[in-house]
Amino acid sequence: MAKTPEQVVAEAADRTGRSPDSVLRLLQEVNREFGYVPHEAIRAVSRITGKSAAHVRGVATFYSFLSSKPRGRHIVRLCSTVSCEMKGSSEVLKALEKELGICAGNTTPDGRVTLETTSCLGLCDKSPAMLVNDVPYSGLTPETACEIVRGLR
Amino acid sequence: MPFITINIDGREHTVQEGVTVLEACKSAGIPIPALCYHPKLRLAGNCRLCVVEVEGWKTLQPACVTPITPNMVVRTDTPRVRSARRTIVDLLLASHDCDCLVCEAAGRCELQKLAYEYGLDRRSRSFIGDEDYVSMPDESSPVLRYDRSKCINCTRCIRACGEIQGKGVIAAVNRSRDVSVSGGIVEWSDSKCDGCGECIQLCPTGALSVKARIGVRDWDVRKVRTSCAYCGVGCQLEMWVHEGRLVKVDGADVVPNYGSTCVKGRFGHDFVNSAERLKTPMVRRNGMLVPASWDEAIGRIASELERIKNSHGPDSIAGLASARVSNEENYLFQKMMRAAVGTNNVDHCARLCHASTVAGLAAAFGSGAMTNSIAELEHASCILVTGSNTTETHPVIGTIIRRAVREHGAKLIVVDPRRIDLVDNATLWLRQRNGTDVAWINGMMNVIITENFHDKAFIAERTEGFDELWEVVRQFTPERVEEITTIPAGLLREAARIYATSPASSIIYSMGITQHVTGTDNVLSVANLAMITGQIGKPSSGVNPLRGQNNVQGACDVGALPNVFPGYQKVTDPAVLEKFEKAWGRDLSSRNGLTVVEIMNEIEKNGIRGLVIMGENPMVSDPNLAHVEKALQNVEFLAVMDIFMSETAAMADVVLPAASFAEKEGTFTNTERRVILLREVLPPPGEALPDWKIICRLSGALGYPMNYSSAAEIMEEIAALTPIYAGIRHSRLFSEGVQWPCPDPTHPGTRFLHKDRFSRGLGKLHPVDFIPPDELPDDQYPFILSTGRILYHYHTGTMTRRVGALNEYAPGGFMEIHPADALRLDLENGGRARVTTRRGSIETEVRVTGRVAEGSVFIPFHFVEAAANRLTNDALDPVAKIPELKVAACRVDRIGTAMGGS
Repeated sequence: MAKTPEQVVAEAADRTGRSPDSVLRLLQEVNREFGYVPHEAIRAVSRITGKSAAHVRGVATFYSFLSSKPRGRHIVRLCSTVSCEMKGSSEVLKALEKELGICAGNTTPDGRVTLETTSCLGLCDKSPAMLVNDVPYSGLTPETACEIVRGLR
Repeated sequence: MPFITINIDGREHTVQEGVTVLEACKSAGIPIPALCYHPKLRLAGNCRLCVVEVEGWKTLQPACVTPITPNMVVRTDTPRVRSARRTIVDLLLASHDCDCLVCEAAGRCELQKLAYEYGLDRRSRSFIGDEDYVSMPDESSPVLRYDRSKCINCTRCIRACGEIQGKGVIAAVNRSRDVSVSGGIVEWSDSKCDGCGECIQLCPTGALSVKARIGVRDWDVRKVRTSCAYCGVGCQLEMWVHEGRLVKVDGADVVPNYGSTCVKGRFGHDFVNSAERLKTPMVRRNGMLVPASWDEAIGRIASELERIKNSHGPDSIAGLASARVSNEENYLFQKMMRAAVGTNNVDHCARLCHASTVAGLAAAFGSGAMTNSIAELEHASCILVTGSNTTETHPVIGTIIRRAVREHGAKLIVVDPRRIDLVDNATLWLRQRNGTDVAWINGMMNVIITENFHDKAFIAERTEGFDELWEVVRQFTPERVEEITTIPAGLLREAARIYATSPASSIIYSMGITQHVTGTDNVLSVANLAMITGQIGKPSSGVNPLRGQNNVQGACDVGALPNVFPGYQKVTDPAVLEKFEKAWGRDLSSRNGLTVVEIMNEIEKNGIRGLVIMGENPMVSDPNLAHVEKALQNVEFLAVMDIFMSETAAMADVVLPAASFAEKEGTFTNTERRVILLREVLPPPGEALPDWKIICRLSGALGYPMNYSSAAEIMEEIAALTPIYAGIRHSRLFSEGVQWPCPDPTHPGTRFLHKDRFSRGLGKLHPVDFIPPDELPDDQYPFILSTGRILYHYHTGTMTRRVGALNEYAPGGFMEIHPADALRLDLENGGRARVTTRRGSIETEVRVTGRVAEGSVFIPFHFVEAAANRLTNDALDPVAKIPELKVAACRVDRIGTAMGGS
């Protein structure tokens, strides 16, 4: 049976500790497990760390790598900052949008992929770059990007 | 601190070293606009509106976070500065819903003022259309509204909630242009926000506002400062009045609350406007209370009391004064009972809360009041809170305790059978079994003395009776204490060490200590603990009983007690008696009168036949209500003065309409002994009169005329007869009030007591042995029942239950029970249960919670429909005659389905 957000938080707290400093790490674990941070998890983290629910929500909504909404199984983050832009990232984006049939910021109807743009990934020397889940890809062309995304199951 | 010279706008100014540019400008009288800055809050430096030019710096500097340096040259009003500020205001306005025409904040809005100053209007805006930003306000809180489209993200509210209130409920959520302030996860009501409203008071715009529409503009209201009508903290409030109605309340920025209030103080005063207020006197005719003239009502009381006095003697009459009315009124009430009626049968509800404090601390120190000032608690290094759910019963003091912990690193030790909210902030929480306080305090002293942490010099120089104390205390090893109290021995040792070795430890206690048959013993034990460690007679260090009601301290001080005249001067002392006989021109009784519970008992035995009650509601507040009800039905004659038709007034023969706290002049004395002013904010409704005027009329009708032109004149008489009040005059109280003892009109008052010597000379250590509570659980009544208060209601609810917002927070009575017990009894959260003791039975809602220990039940006593006091035990402390409201044995039964056919 799938774990509830409360169970995930409780188990994670055994590793991270229960101090207010653990809020972010607990939320990361929740995000890893569910792909987003459900309200029940915010409540659980609040209870365990003693920080208010609004504070925990503030942390959860501040970091772009934590999501407040359910998302796809795979997250594709294409860099849209200056260097990548100059090397054609907008063409790559158009191709990805066409390939997946969604605009950036959305998830494919089958829940397979969420496409997002992101700020600089630190790969300017190999622009354009994107991050697929935790793996960086660089030197992209519209074709190579689509190929990578096509391989995601 | 040394001073340095800086140049501001071409002129030299000498200012204190270490301040910021903004503070320097402020002290030089040069205005600097700022939105995120607030003198009470830590610096945020996020609005950038306070920018100034500083010579030697290329960029503009934010004045609020820039410290001054010697010979600094600052320019605050150059074109560059003005242009930068103008741009900032323009940007703020660009995303601001400028509906000033209908905004509650118009007139006091700081953004509005700046927009006007810089000549900015909607048309000058260039960036973003309104549509993106205007959103529906969050109105889910019972008391406040948050409108994101007016929020400028200054974070004052967030800092206010965290730094001032110590709650940290609200926070900023989201990023970038989506940032907003949030109370909860989805909406405000989904949070622990308790509605204190500190955030509203500090919001510079209309983003956070009072939910109930005020309907009157800031510039149309009259603002009057007065004292709060609720608890003993004595918060100073600013009341907004318009056309004879109270429209809004703010905290006044003076001692003791410095702008803070609780939800009751800010939102709980609607009752004064209530249509249910008593407006004419009423007398009972043919079994019905019908309106009557003042003359008829007063005449009826006078003739009935005269008749009873003539046939049964003055001691067949008793009076209940009130901790809710002013010092002047309580003084006149007891004077009337003693001089006009001729009896000492005058008491009030202090009997039910701190009679044991008055008795115990008087025996130990010579004076029964809070030894320190409220403000000093913030700087105590260790605070031991026992039997006080401070954040609910004295919320602003609760806030100060939280600040002491959060901002100043104080160690907090909570000793309480319930997991009260302060446990969240506590270093240690000791959960004792109800009614075992003498045992754990003796245990702590045992540890302290055994481990040699006691203050030998203090004990030798300032106290007596140490050897006798040790004889008893030596028997209370932590292991034995663990058996009695269930507090683990190790935890007790740790607590003892922290308390004894901290530089300034303060004990805070309240009804959890006093409302026991061993109440006086408990208080003596607390005093012992403070004395053997020398933790008394110093700033931030002492024994601090928190008095429950707004004027319970004052009512005691001015003699509304059966055994003492004003200033705790004993009625049995011939010299004192002579002094008062001379002053009042009548022979007075030298026999101690009866206490509250004794009065009720005597009615049953026909010892008391006439009863006058001023502003009390024993039909809800007193223990063993079935008994009280019978007494009030049986008493020959009952007169009640009140602002509402309370449960008690409804049983009276004559009811007199009184002015509320907001409708009269006078003084209260708060829990820190501070005599504070009440002002006439509103006219009384209908024919209602201040109690002191009612007493003057009644006393005159009883053949003892009283002529006073004002409350101030009455205070002069009190001062002349009461040494601790000798220097108190109304004219001295306008700014901050004065703390007694104040022996003469030039004396500044006393911040903390017992500095070099105790009021009685040497502090007396009393050996106190442990005695179990009067009623313990058994097979028939297996649970321990305890009663108390909640944040949202006050005492018998006469006032708070007429306030919509407070009812929304807490609509009705409930019982708290532990999950394990609930499981055993098949009780569900939100279900109904019957709670029964040997004295009565009530039905109430079940709350399953770990706040109470297994085997315990807690019920708040505010709710007449589920009156906890139908259950409570009226067994008395032998010394102070305080009933054991905190411990009774009870049974709990599920109501509804399948309980053996019940």
